[in-house]
Amino acid sequence: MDNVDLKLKNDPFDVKAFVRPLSLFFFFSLMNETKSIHYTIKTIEKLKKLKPGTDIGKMMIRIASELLTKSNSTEVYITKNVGEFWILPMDLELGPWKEFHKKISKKELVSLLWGLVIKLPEDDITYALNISQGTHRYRISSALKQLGSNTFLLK
Amino acid sequence: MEFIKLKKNKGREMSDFVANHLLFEYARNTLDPERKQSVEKALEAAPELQNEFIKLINGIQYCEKLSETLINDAAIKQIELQSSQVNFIVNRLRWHQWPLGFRWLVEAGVVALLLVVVLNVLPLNRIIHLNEGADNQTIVAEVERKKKPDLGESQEANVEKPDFTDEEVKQPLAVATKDKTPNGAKLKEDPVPTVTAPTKPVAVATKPPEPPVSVAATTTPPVSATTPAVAIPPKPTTQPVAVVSSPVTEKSAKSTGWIYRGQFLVTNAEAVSPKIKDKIKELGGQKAGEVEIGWLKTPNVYYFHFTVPEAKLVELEALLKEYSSGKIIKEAHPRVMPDGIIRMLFTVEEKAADAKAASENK
Repeated sequence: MDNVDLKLKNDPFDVKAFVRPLSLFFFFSLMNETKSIHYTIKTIEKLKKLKPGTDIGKMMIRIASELLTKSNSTEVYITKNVGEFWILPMDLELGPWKEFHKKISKKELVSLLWGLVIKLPEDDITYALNISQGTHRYRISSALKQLGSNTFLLK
Repeated sequence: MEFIKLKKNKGREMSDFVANHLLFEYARNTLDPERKQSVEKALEAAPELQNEFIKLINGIQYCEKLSETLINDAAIKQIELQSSQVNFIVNRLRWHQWPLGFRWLVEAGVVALLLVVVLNVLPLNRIIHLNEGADNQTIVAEVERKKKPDLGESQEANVEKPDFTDEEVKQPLAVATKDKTPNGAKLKEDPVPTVTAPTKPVAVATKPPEPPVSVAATTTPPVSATTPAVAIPPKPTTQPVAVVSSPVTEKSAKSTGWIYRGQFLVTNAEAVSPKIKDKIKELGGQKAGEVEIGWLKTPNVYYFHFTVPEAKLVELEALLKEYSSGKIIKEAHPRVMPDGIIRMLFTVEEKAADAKAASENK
């Protein structure tokens, strides 16, 4: 897995380093623009309160995942102003993702987003989510098959 | 990642189930060559596995596209700005760094402020006077009771007994029960302070029968000279009964009501009293106080307190004249009676008993 160097462990705290992964994570998990920004800010505020020396990258995954678990992700999708904050790839259709989002469990969604979309280190994810590597990979595999079935049907 | 090497003894092929679970690893190309070969063999043999693998690849490709999503600088700035504003306020306050005493002071102030607001907003008066509100409802019921006289104008108004109090009833009764002496039978004067009627006419009335002379004229000549007594036109009978109005009270009580008083000495009061009572009832008389008309107040003294239509006054006088020479005196009284209704209060006493009592007093 290609890990993205986000310099999450930098001290002092750099907000910019956290904005993209967090906002992407909340946008694709909640499919709600306003909420995604709100939760991003909320997570950043929590991260700022951590003691110096804490592994902020792992804590970001943990805090954001907990917030997502507590939130009501079954709300209506609002993606009218997607172009306002996010620049999506030209050939990307959000239809399969919306369908996938309805069916997928939060645990599998979390593993898929952190692992394959945001591409954070696998060790950090498993540590932050307190799961084994096998569990993490199984969840990703299961989620990918569901997502792939949606795109497969379209093709 | 280290993989456990498969046994090569029997050269057993990988099952579809295991191959399915290794597809993700195979797609990522992280399998060891031996497993990779086994998965490839399984994929060639099972079309279902091929479909699963295609789905997996599609999913990975879709995720790759998702990962290319970028965020506008505007969004980043907005998030940074909002984050910094929240941070600024929190840092500015630095509540936990404040001195303990000052923090307590601020907390006390906030609590006091909240109390003031709550006390001002809450309708405490209504809450406190909740029970009194219930009392007010009972007062409303009393008001309804007072409405009754307005509804009944003539006869029904007379029925309302609680509005009148029997004069000389309780005190003489108590005296009579305690002392049990014939002197207790004597009437006392009206205790109402507003009435200024002289007692002399009553005193004269208690005397033995005399010629029909105006009481006011005989007892208080100066007064009668200035303000002549109003007497009901006498009828040609042997024992006329005169209705005398108190001249002093008539002036002062123009805006007040009237009461007709009297004391009648009869022979055989025990037999006469029921007859008078029946006649009064026949004339439409209603008891005004608590006791019945013709109540035996003391031995040989019968108490009559009632209301009667004013038109029946003449008939009543005629009745009383048959038995006694007493007089009915019209006095001012604070209670105003309805139009056409008068209130009378007199006693019927035994002549012999009065004479006896008078001799005992002497």
